Amino acid sequence: MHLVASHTMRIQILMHGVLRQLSGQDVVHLQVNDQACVQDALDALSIQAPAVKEEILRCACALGDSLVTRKHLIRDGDELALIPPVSGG
Amino acid sequence: MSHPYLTTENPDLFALLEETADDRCGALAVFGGTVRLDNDGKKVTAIDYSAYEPLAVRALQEIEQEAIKRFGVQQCRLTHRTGKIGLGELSVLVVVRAGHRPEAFEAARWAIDTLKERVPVWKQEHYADGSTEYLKGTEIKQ
Repeated sequence: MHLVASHTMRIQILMHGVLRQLSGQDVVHLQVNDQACVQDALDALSIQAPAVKEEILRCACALGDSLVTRKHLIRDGDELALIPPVSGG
Repeated sequence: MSHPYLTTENPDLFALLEETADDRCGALAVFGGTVRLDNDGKKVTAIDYSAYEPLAVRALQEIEQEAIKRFGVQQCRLTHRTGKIGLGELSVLVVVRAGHRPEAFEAARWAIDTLKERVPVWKQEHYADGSTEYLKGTEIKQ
């Protein structure tokens, strides 16, 4: 009998600005499948925190000090920052 | 030691002036943003600024370098405050030094306008009636 291991990755979504207010959380912990991309993580987030679903459409995403596209592949342990429209100054 | 790009303390204008001192320059332009009493008809009591630090610091540094190249100015430094700050307090400082005033003014104006478009900082306004609101903001272009 062959056992097929189900590979998942644990990541964190860093919430900022209005996302914190909408979700009531600064950080959301998610499990996503191996080979998941940023869009997959955002889809999972929309299910876990439906209050932010609409706002996610207006967000950029970043890993560390770099912006990443929705197609960027996620790695286990990543801290994906969601960047809603900015309002500094 | 250079002034921090993000600070929970009151931005130190004199430290930035010292840091950017440059004998080649005959012009110094400073822009400061402060917390304003009214916004959209609501009475503001404070603004709580938050930031995504890794990208905010990088974006501020890139704007400085781009301002220097684009306008031919000698020095450009930016700093943004985070945390909850009261009416009249400084939220942001732009310091530009250049040979002459036209490019100093232009670079300072461009730098603050670009900061508002690119730097991941968010303001949550606190109002006299006890309510709060995150301002709509500008989507970051990718």
